[in-house]
Amino acid sequence: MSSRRKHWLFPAMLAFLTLTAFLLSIKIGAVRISWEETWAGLFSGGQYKDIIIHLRLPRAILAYLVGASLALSGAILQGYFRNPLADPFILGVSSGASLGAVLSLELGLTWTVFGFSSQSWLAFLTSLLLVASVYLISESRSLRQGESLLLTGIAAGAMASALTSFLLFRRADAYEQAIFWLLGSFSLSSWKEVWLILPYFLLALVISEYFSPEMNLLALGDEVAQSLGCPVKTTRRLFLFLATLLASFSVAVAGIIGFVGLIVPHSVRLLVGPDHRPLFLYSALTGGTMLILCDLVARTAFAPSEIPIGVITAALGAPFFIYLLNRQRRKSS
Amino acid sequence: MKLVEVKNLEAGYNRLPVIHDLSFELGHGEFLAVCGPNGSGKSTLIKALQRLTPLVRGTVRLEDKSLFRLKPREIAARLAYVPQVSEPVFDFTVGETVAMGRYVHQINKLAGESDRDRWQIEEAMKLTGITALRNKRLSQLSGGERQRVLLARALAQETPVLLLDEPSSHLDINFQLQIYHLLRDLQLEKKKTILVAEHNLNLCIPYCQRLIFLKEGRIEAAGSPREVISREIIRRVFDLEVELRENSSSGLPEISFIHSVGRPESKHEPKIADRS
Repeated sequence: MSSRRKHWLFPAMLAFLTLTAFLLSIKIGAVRISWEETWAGLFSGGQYKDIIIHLRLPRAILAYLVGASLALSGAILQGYFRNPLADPFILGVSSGASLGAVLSLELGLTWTVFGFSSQSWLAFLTSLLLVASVYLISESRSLRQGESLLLTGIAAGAMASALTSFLLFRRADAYEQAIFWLLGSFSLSSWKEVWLILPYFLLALVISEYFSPEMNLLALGDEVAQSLGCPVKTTRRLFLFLATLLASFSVAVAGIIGFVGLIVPHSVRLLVGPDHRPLFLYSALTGGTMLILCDLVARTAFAPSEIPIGVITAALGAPFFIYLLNRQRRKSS
Repeated sequence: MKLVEVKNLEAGYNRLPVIHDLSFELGHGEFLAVCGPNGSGKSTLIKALQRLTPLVRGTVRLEDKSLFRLKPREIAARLAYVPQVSEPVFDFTVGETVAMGRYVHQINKLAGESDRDRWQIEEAMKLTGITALRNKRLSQLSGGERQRVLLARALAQETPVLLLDEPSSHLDINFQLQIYHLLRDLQLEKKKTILVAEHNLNLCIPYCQRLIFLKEGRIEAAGSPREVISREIIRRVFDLEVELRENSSSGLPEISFIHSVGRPESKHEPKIADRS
């Protein structure tokens, strides 16, 4: 395929897919609504207005934003670690968040601040705290920073997971509630979550795009990047901060949704190449679309009961991951 | 004014200096080769000049400015670095890779590529003969082609000085020679100042004007090739017994290896009769 044809084909297909995904996720659900009524609910009212405007639309938009945030976070971290197998949770955001959520259940916290539950807050804060401590611990090491960060992240994540499992083991009744965090769900979505994550997502996207030339240099390795004039340390800090917050916000509103942040940037890189300027944008757009579709499957496949969305993304993502590993092995041998 | 001035340089990793008390200067349009055994500090020196090693102490001045007061961008505007060829993690195209050399001049990122950027990128690709490879991905290239792409990226950086870390490693003898021809052209026609770290002495002798021999991070000998290529110095630097001949076309010294010092001549060592 000529590169010029590729240039418009992928965005065109993506735009079509996104629009279709949005419309389907607004139309399809537990209550059967016809296309005419869907249209009326969106623009003029009608009997299903509440379902469409207050349930399905915010849910679709939130799924889109979370998918976009996770994919962007993954794209950033893959460049950051120069490793196409990195994902948003590699530094322990997910284990930190589940520990926070389970801790809040264990302590029986029921307060809400700015409309967000104690679980959301604790999940958000512990995930940030965990990554911050991972960063500080790895800074003081003599190992190469990326490597040290990765290893410390894995160790800290394992510790947080162990604590989470211990707490769940002590309080079996909390398990059902904890599942929301451990496997992710959009069943509690509302406009409130959308307004929380939207401004930060847009800001992070704009900043990442602006600094994408620096990320291209970082992807060549620290020494080469600096020799080409890139302020390596500040750029690294900035991107780590952006990626961690994107993942933490996503987890706070929808729980841990795996694999989106791994497979989307990787697949997009195969289509648009490794240049981070298109990569960041298209990863975000593709991640959003993918998560709307996964959410649609999650809530309709076994309707009226909902499958946690993490089950769907993992079921699709795991085989893809194995395919990637094999492909890499073949390439390197 | 010297382009690079180094006095009592100490550099290395993790508080362990690899380079000790090293001083030298590099003037406009010079071609300097740094040679020495593995681990003697050649690469470390090249990196230390750009402050890429964790430990750099002493005095390093680039065009009269202290290295320690310069930001990465200001260093990159003075020194361009050609690292050793390595396997790319992300498969950029040749065009994208060369264009990254322009980063240092793109202060206003919203403005995009300027005419000067485009011109310099074209010129760099033309000089290194990779224009036709523009849309190829790095993984599709041979070692020699990749080496030229890295050189083109350094040329696009538009600096007075080029630093090259073992530019001939991984290349066959034809490509080794091509790279050095190209470097000499750049030195003579583009007035570039060139510093190479090189382990292949015979390769760099005809091209460099000055040669520094490093051993265990210290300068063991320095001067023109005629001054420093002697059996005595090579024995000191490499622990190697050599024979010197005069190259019949250039008249410059050339080295033939005999055997390692401190090791008795092996009965399996090639003899003249074996070579026929």
